[in-house]
Amino acid sequence: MKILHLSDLHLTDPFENFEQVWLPVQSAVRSHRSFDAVVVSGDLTQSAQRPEYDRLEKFLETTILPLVEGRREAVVLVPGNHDVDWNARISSPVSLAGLGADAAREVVREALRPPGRDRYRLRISPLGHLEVQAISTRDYASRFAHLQRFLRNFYRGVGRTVRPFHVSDRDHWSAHLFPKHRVAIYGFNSACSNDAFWTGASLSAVAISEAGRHAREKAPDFVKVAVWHHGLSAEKGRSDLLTLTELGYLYHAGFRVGFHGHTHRDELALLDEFLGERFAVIATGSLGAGAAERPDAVGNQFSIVHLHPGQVRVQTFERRGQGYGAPVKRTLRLPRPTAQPSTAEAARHRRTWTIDPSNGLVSCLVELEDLHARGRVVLARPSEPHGHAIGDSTVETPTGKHKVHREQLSGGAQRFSLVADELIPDATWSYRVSNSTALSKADRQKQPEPIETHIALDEDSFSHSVRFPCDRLVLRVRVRGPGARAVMGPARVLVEFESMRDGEPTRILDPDEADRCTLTDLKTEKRLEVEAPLVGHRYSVVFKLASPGVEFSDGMETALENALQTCRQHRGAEEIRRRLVDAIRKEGRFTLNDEATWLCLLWSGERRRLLPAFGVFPEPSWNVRFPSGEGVAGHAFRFGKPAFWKEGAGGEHSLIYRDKTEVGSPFMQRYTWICCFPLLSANSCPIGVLSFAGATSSTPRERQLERMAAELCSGGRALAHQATTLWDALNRGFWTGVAAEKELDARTRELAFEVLKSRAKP
Amino acid sequence: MSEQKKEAAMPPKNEPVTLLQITYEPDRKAWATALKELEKPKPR
Repeated sequence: MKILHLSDLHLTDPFENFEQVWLPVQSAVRSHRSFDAVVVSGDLTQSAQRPEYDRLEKFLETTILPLVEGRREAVVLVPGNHDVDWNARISSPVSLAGLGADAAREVVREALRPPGRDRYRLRISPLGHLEVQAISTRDYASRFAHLQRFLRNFYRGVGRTVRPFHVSDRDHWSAHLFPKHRVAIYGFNSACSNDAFWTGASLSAVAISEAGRHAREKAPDFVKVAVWHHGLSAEKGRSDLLTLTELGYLYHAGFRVGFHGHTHRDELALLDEFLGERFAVIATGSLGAGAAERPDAVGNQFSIVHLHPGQVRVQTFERRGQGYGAPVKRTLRLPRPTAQPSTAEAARHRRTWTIDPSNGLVSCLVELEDLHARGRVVLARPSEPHGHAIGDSTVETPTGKHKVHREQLSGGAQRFSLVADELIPDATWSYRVSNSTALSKADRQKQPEPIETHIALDEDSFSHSVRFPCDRLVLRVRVRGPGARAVMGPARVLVEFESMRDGEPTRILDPDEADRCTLTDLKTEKRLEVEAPLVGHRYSVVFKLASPGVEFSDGMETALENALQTCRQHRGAEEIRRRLVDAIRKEGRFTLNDEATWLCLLWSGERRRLLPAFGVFPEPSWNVRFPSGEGVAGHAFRFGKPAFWKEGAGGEHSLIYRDKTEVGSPFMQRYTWICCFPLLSANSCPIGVLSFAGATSSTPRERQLERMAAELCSGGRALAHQATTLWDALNRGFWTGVAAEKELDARTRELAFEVLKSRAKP
Repeated sequence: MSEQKKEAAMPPKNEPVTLLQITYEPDRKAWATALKELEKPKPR
C-alpha cells in the first residue's frame, strides 16, 4: 500500500496559498500516478477559521483527491493544535472578590492544574493582570466547530469504510478501512485537551479503547495504523508531546504503525532503535510552515510510505531552495499483523505431556485457570516433523463445553483454537501426538532431519511458545508405564525467541529468561515453572536421552544403502525376490505369491526413511517413504515389533495409520488391513520391514493375514503365536535370500551370513 | 479440579494400530538348517 504523508499544512509567511507549497511537491511526485491513501497528520489550518477550511477544502478537491482517484475515504485528515479555535467563546471571567478566601484559593489551585475536567483556567487579561476564567461546559466544544463543519462536509456521503471524527461531541477518533490492502488507518485527536489556555498534547484513553474495539470487530487481521498530530519530543519545558504511556496504549490496542507531524522535522532515527520491530513511527515535517516556524536548517517535508505486512519503507523528501531533492530512505520492520495483540490472559497455564514408552505416543493436557478469552485463543500448534496430532473436540469448563476449531496449516502443522469472549475459571483440553519425542539415542538418530538448533543429538525436548500472557506457566514432562525410568536423563531449561537474521527466521537464545525459570528434575518427571513468561518466547524442557537404544552394527548402514541401491536400480529385483520367496517357501509354513500385495522396505540412513526395495505391489508404491514411527510400517520399524491395523477395529482415529487423504500422499493405496513385520539384524536392530496389505482379500494367504490383523487389533491373542512364528520365518527367509543373492556385494552377503550364524547359535 | 479428576480427564488409549508386545525368539534349529543349506556346496 502506497501512502502520501503530509503534515502541518498551516500556511505561514512567506506562503500565502497552497499552490505555492504544492508546485514543487507536484514535480517531485510526478512519477507516482496515484496513491492508495493520503494521510494528513494535523494542523490543517493556521488558526482554525472558517475561510481557512474553505480554502483547504478547495485544495483537497482540486489537488489531493485526484491523487487517490477521487476517493474521499482514502484521505485521512487528523486535527492538530492549530485546528483549535482560540477565538471561540468557551469561558467567562470569574470575580474572585465575591468569593470567600477559601473558595477563591480553591479556584486558583484548580486553575493552576493541567486541564482535565477542571473548570478554571488562568490567563493574563488584556489589561495585564492575572485573570481566572471559568469554562462553560455548554460552549467548550465550540472550539472545534469550524473543524467539525469542514470534516462533515468533506466526508459527506462516503461509504461505510470511513467512520469520521465527531470532535464536537468529545469523540476524538476516526477510522478508514482499506480491505483490499488489509490495512486499517485510525485517526486520533492529540489536541483533544487543547484550548486557548492550554496547548499540551494528549490522546484520549476512551478514544484509543473504542478504536481498538472497532478494529478488533471490523479489521481483526489488518495492519493497524494510528495517525495523530503531536510528536514524541518537545522543546524543554513544553508539554506539547505525547508520552510513552500513550504509545503503550496504542500498542496494546493493536496498533503497530504511527504517523505524526507537529515537530516540523523527521526526528526518529534513535526512536527506531528503541522501539525495534514493535512499533514503526513515521514523522514528517511541515509542508506549509514558513522558515520562521521550522527548526534550524530543516526544509519543508513530505513522505511517501510503502506499507507492507512485514515492513514499512519511508522516503522523506525535503525542500532545498525551490525544489525537493532525492529522498532520504528508511526501512522499518513490522511484526506480522495478528487478530489482536493478545486474545487471552490466564492466571495459571499448565501443560503436562505424558509419554507412553511402549508406543511413543504422548498425551498433552492443557489447563488454564481464570482464562479471560477475547476472541480466538490458540490452544496448541503441533507441527511436522513431530508427528500427527489428534485433539479433543471440546474444551471442558465447569459451566459447559466450548468447541475447539482445528485448522490444517501448510507443512503438516495443525492449529487448535477456542473462540470465546468471556472469563472461563477453569478450562481443560488435551491432545495426543505421535513421534513427538525420541525414547533413546538410537531413536533420535532415526528422526527426520533435526530442525532444533539448540538441542544436541543425545537430547530431546518439549516446548511451548507463549501466545498470551499468564501469571504463571508450568510445563511438565512425565513418562508413565513399563520402562519409564529408562527414558529421561538430566534436564535443562531452554528459552528462545524468534527474530529475523539475514532474512531468515532464526531462534535466538535468551539465557537471562532461562535463569528466571525454576526446574524440578526427577527421574520420570521434569517440571519447568516461570512467573509471567514473555509472550512470543518459546520455553523448552530439554532432557538427555538416558538409553542408547539399539544401534546399527558396524557396516550395516552401508550394506543397507548398497542393497537398496541394487534392488531399486533393477526395479523389482526379480532375482532377490525369487530367492526370498523360495527361502520362505522352503520353510513349508508360509508362501508369498504374486496374488498378495507385499512390500520389503529397507532403511536408508541417508534419507532417514524406509524405502521400497522389492515385492509385489502397484507401481506408484515405489514412491512411498516412511519416516521411523510413521505409518504402520514406520511404527513396526521404530519399535522392532510386529504392528497391525484393521479398519474399524480398535478405535476410530489413529495417530499411526494415516489415510492418504490426511497425509496428502498421492502414492498411498487405500487398504483395509495392514500387517508389518520388522526385519532384525544380529543384534536385534531393525533394518527394514516386510509389509503386507490388502483392500479385498481374495487369496487364502491374504485372508489369513487379514484375520490376524483383525484378531490382534481387537485385543485377542489367539493368533499371537502364529504371528510370532511367521515373523521369524520372514526374517529367516529374508536373510537367507540376501546371503545367497550374487547381485549384492560381498560385504552385505557376509553380514547376512553373520545374522544366520548368530540366530543358529544354541 | 482435583489432581485425580485431571488424570481421569486424560484421553483413553485407543490407538487402533496394535504393536505386538513380544520378544523376538528365533527358531534356532530352523536357522541352523537354513545356514547349512546355504553352506552346502552346490552339486556339479
